[in-house]
Amino acid sequence: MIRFALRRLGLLIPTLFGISILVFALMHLVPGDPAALVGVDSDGAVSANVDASAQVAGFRERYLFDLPLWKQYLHYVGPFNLSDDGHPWFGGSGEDRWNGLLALDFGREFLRPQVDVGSELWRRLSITLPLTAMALLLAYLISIPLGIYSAVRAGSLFDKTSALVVFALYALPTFWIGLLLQMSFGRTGLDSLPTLGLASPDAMDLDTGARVLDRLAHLVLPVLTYALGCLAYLSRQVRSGMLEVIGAEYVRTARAKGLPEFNVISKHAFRNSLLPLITLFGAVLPSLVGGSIVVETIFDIPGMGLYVYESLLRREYNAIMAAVLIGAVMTVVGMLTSDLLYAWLDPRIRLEGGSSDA
Amino acid sequence: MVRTFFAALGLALPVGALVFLSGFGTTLQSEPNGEPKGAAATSEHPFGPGAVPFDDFRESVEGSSKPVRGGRLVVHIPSRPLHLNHVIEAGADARRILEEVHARLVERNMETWELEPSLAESIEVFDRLNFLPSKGGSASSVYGREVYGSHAKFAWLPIEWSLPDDPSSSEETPPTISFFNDGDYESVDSASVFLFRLRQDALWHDGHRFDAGDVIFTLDTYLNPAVQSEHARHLFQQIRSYEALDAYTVRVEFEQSYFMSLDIFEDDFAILPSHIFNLADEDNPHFDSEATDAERAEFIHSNSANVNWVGLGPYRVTEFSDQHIEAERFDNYFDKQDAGWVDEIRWRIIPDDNAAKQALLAGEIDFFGRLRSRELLGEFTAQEAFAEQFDKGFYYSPQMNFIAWNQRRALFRDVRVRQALAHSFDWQEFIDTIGSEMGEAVTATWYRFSPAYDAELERFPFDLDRAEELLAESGWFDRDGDGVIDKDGERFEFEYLFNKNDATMRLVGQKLKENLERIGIVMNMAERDFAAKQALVGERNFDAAAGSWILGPETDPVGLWHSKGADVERSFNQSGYRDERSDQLIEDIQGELDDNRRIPLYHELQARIYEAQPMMFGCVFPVKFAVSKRVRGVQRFFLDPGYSLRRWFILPKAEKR
Amino acid sequence: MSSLLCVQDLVVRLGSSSSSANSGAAVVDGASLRLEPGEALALVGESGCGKSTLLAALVDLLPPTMRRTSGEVRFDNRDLTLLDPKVRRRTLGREIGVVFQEPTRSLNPVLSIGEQVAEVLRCHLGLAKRAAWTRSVELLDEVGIEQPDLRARNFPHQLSGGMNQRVAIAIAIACSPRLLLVDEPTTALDVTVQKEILELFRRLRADHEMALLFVSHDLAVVQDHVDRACVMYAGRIVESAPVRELFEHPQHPYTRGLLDCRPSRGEPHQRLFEIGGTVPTVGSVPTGCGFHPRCDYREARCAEELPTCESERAARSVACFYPLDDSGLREASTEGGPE
Repeated sequence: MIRFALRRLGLLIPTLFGISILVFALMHLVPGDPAALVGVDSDGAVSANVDASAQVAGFRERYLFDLPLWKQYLHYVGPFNLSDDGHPWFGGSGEDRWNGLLALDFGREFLRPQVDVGSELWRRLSITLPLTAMALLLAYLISIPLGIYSAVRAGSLFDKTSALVVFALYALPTFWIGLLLQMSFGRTGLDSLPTLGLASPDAMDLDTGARVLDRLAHLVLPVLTYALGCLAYLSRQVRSGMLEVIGAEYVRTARAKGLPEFNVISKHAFRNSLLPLITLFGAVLPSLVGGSIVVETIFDIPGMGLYVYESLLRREYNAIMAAVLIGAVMTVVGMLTSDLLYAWLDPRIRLEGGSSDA
Repeated sequence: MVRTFFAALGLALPVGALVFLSGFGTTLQSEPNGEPKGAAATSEHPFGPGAVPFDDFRESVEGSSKPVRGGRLVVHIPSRPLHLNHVIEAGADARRILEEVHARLVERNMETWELEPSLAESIEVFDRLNFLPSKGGSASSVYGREVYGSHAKFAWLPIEWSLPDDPSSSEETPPTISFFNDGDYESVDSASVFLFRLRQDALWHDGHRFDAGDVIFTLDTYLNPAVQSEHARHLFQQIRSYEALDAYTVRVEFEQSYFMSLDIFEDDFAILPSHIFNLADEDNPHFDSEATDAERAEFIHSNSANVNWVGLGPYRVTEFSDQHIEAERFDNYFDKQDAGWVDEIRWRIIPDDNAAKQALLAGEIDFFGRLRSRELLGEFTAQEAFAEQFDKGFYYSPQMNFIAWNQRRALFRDVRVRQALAHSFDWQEFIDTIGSEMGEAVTATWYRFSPAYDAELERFPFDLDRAEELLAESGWFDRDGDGVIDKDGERFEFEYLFNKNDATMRLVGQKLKENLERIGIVMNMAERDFAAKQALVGERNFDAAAGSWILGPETDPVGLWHSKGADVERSFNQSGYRDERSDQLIEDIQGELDDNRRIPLYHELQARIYEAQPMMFGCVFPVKFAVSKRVRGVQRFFLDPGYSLRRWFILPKAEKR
Repeated sequence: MSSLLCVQDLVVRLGSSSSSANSGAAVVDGASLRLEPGEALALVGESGCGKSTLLAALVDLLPPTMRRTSGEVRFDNRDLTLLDPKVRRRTLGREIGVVFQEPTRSLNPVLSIGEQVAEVLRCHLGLAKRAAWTRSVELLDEVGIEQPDLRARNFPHQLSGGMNQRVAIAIAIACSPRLLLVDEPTTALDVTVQKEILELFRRLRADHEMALLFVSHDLAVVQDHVDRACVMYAGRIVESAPVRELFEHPQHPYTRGLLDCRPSRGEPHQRLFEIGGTVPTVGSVPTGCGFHPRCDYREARCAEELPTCESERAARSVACFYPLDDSGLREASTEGGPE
């Protein structure tokens, strides 16, 4: 199994390069230029004072956008100097200040040149990860028992009511849930929970304990919104997986053995019903780091989701590349983890054997 | 030295009959200390230049209280500023913050709309006389002042630049007026040389003294090709030379006379602290005298001071985070008269308007400038949570929207077609319904409330019948009976490109589409994200494109309407407008330094462009805001940003936070 | 001596447990049967006649789409249908073992087979973990699995179908039940394995003194292994007799038809007999005798009245108005052939 994991991780590197080439190409094919956003206010009004054509030309020269795409890619990947006269930002100056992707250097942003994409991503991750992790944990903690119970009591009043609630949650847009929660718990409602940001504006003045509490209070509504968003999908997945398993012959066998119902469900049915959920795990990991644009917008949390969204709007190629690559790593790791979990839960799968395991 | 020179001038010229000096009145000086700016003045018309009363829009406030110091002001801004280093373009919100945390060589007086000295204590303006190659001996030009008199001949007061320690002083040699005949010189560039005398009491927020080195470094930076400052570089490329005459005197010489040469030292000139950003400054801890342009540029780009801003304004940035930018009053600010009342200003960043309104109602924000018209007039502001805490008001900001017709395409080449399109949209109705009657339809790109704008110019009325007539005259009518007008076998069908986040121009598009359908024109909506839309417009790959522009109180029309921009990709002449007379007018405007003589030129240009309809001119909407009742001293200006935070103060009784 | 298992007028209908009592088509329509201690009974019939459903109904393992609407199931003089579900469950596995048709599918794929056996022992006999494991290895040995201590650690997918069926049997007999219900245990297996499994049943029955209810669609397979056989058709038991008598003198035309379908070894060139028509689907069982449309001997009465077995207690019974005589002959009807 270790060999399997290592082999899969080894495959990660060519996969990442493949993805990076693809994304690099796609990104540059999308019309729009980071420099085109210079002198633009938040509503998209353009200041007629700026010289947009010169700005774009300057950007294109500075960041080599006019070079053939493959050359730009090589510049992105490493310190290859392919421009005619050398370029300070791309290794041309002969110094090793800029090393490209190979040195795990994600470069800088264009419009915020003081921002190093790598450290910015890290900072955003540290905001998003606790939020998504708590939300997903909560979603799983609720949806697994809910899904199981609905499946076991399929057709019962409980099942029907929970289905109704869950579908309503599923149909309600996340922003609506978020606004509803804000209105209910915010100053305009119960006034019991903060509705914006990650901390009170004056949190810096509080002592450590109060600061932690403040932070946690700020997390409640976003976590709830995010969790409610996934809850519906997850619990339905659990329910349908469970229903399928409950009808299986080995569950009938387990009943025929005269085992207590709890035993039948928890030991025989649940473990098998987990298998499809594990496939989901491959998708869960990237979403952990991806965050949610909607939740982050409503609650004004500057996490990964917003970062990627803003970067896309601003055509911050370096940021987009870095985010996609991290997403890709997480996807691959997620899939690997789900494979390993699968193997652990399902003895029919033998990882050493072959590649037909995924 | 120059001052004594003027004294001498006063004595020497009483005989010279009527003498006046050209340009901007020659010397701008700080006002003597006196009343706080804007106090107690009233104006019947709140638009345009003029004294602006305090708190005039508030029903609940009577008279003005005496300003007091203290408290914290929380101001909403709708997007995260990229940084605060405006040399590398930081966006509109950053500019508004810089208003309070930074200072400029010249500032525009929000009431008179005139430029006034600020960091530059005084500015002296000189002309340049260019000799014919055969005349003048070794010098090709001399500096001085063009003097008009009753003489037929051209009179000239020469001036020599000399350093303060130069023993030869003009006190001993009184200036003499030279007279030239037409054949003696080639041309005079009026107001092409500026002498900025800097304040000696200005300190950077870190305590470092501000001096000429900072100004020179900033000019160097704008002109350093490796720096990301192309957006403004063209302005400074008009400068022929610049030098520091001493630690507090900077001389700047332009290539030619230009009506906005002083203006570029206002909004577009963000002075950088040399001791922080300049690698070649010995005071910089990273001092490196060998640094190349590129290295100096990168040092600026990647500098953390871009966000941890060290400025010269009355407020000092203490925190720059994702959620807010905080500044506290800087006690060493040089202008004690205008040094701000509140102790702290917090710019609260909430990009989502709904979230921001939540925060507003929760009392977390003192000022919010993104109310919609129907909120201003409707339930939102009527609810108790709002009415108890806030007053509401509006002001105009120099922003207008439009639909550019791409004249490079055959469809829009005929002026009758473009006029027909102008007849097919009822802007007034649109303003009445969408803007709840707040807003004005405009006939020019320049600011509706600036003197350059001719409010008398009549708009093409909404008249679909007239539109059909015009189209028919131009050969467009429905020949094949399919309900769509055609000509030469082509149907009149085009694409309306707009930014998908621009709700206003989406509505305009929808309404226009309906109207055009009635006169047999097919308009297809094409929404793109902003960057993609800009790229398409920049490449001129569009039929019709919606957009909006922010303009200064006065904007050089050359970028927007001169034919030399018609073929330049991404220039603001999106329609490809070309007109010889307009080109001439624009060039005249650029060279005309007299405000009163410039205005008729603007008006003629406006009428010409409006007649040609290179774009459908849209409207200006006011900015609708809410301001906390505890905040006083609020004035509404009709120049961006529309308010001046340093004049606001917080009623002591209401102070809770 | 009372019977070990006595089923009386059992009715199973389609529809979930919340449907009203008599709605839904009957899958099992008033079946009655009886099983003495140690006796082996075969329940035979074509696919879809309701025999597996009947078996599931006995142990309350009907799929959610069906439910028992009436009738009683007496096991050891207790009516299982009236028992508290918990008590009923204690009977299952402990006193009644069940072996299902698809051996591989009826074992849990994610548990080792040893665990699946041991689980029953722990649950019903209260054995400790280690003891249960040891015992389950013995049981695996008893059902003929070689190297049982190694195999116990294997998972079902690592074993052949025959092996898995042995495991299933080991589970069923783990607590030495008095009754073993077996649902087509050999259908999914190939012929040689079938034989071994049948032999295994015979041996176990002898060793454990179990009664056996053997559901099969193939009379021939079971004829040597059971004492008695019941023939089921369209949800009803149409004939019940000691297996030898049934073979030699079938009284119900359907039984006769079933027997005639078999290729007989003695007469290689005989053309195979075929019962005309098809088994009626659930819900479309004709009135009167369910078999009458396919019956060569039907009379007018057959279509109107429902024939019943005289008594399920009798050694032989048949649900037919016109049973065949000992020679197996009866005058053919003149009213035309089957439809």
